[in-house]
Amino acid sequence: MNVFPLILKEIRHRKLNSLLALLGIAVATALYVGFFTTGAAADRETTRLMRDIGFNLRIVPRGESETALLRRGHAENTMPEEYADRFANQPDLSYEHLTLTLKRWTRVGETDLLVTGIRSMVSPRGGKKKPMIFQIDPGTTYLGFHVARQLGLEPGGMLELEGHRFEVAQCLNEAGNEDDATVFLHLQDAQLVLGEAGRINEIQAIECLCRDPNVDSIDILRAELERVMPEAKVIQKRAMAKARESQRLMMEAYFAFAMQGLLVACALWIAVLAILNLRERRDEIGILRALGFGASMVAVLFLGKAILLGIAGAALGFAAGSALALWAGPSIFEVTAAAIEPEYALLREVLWAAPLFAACCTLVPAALAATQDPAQTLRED
Amino acid sequence: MLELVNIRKTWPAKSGAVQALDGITLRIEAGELVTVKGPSGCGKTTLLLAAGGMQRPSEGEVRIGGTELYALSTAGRGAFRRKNIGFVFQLFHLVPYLSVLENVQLAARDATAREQGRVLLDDLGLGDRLTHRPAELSAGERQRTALARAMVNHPKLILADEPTGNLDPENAALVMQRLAAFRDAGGTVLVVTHGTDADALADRSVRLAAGKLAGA
Repeated sequence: MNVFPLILKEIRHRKLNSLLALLGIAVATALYVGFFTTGAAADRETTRLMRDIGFNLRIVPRGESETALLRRGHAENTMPEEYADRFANQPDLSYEHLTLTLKRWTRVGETDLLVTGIRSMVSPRGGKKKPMIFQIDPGTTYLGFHVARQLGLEPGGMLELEGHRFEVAQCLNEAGNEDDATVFLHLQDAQLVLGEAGRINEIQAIECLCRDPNVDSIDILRAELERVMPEAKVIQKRAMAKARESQRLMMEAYFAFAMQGLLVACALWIAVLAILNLRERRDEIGILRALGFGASMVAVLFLGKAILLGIAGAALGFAAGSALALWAGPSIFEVTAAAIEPEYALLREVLWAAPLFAACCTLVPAALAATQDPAQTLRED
Repeated sequence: MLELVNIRKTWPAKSGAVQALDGITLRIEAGELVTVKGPSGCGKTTLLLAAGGMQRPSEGEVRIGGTELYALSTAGRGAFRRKNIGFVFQLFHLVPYLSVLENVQLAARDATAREQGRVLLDDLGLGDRLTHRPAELSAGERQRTALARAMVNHPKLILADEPTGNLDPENAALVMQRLAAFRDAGGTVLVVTHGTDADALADRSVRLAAGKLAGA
């Protein structure tokens, strides 16, 4: 009799054992396929988000030293406020938010203050988005925690700066940074106080990119901006891009670790089932050897079963894993949901990997079956 | 036909080696049915398995039709067994997931033998049970299936280990008659048993006690 029908009949006969082994292979395959299908979606999503996020930029006066800027936290020099309008009116550029600031340290009595004028601009395409930073009405001020305490001011009180009076609209909570020593004013008020009419020392551009989707290089963006703002230079803030990249790498490492644990668990599951199958078939192995079947033939019966279940498990697991990815993926990866589809390249991969995996898990039981002494079982009559 | 020459088989044990077979010499000719009798544990099954090439003796030679069985490789011995020896066991040892016909055809070495299996089963009164599984058969039917499997390749030798041990008298008589018919057709039969079912049909009976043979 041919080995193949013998294996099929045994699988049909010992349904529970075969079903459990099939389940182990299918679950391992489904999770593998599900992970990689959603993983591909995650890559697309990250790429797309990265592209759409654009760049977060600091635009400062050209003569400003980067190291001095980093040490001080703001530029010492100034540039025209009108640059912000030039930026906003560039047809090839888009942005989400622009924040114009003018900062300068000053002193009131014994108290050092960082006078900060702010004006926020929201991109027209941002619709009803709120500005990234609070809006300060002209004639009012927001006081940092220490400034308010040292000057003994509360909301409703009046602050006098360089002969100008401002109503305290709000006293901010302790922040633990330079904000605690800051007096926030409307940009025009700050320009008045500091004698810098029409000047600013920084524009922060959030989510800025070229409108042409094929041109998103920071170098092109920088060149374009510096062309329209000749007194300015552009510095890229990379923190957000790095954070997203780190998050993606962390998720990949986590899933790779989880997948290894899962594969070991499935391997043990399949091996234990094969051992149980071997115990059930000791009698059968004895008579097959008595009938003249060789040890290799006995091993083939076990390995062949593992391979057949591996193929079936791979197909089943691929379908289940793809279904899982199609079901759960769109709610996780909203932007690229439509692009989530079965990864048919994975089917080819699992159709050889799963049978190989199952056969490897069954190697020890198959070897035990092949080397089993048939006389021992036949003597147990 | 079957020649056992000074067969010894020693089993290792914690309390020292156990001598299962101690210098057994036995010759059975073609057309002869011999029973080996003895109490349980006297070494009957070990003798039968050694004679069938399933249990290498510690010493001695087993020859079947002039071929020294243990001089062959494991694979060679398997092929020789398939062609020349049929086994019948007390517990039948049928493959549970194969039908009656498939169990017999499993042993068949060619298409002719496979067809012969159907004829044998018909002859043994199992013509209407060909597609049944062993679990659906009575003990007598299972042993008749095992007998057909043992005979399917027209072997020279049938080795039967307590073939009637689990059967009612009617089926026991039927099985022994078939073994006798095989003998009458020129085959060689060695039956190990502690019962008396085979006495009337056996040409010779030898007794095994404490690994030694008496009456050979």
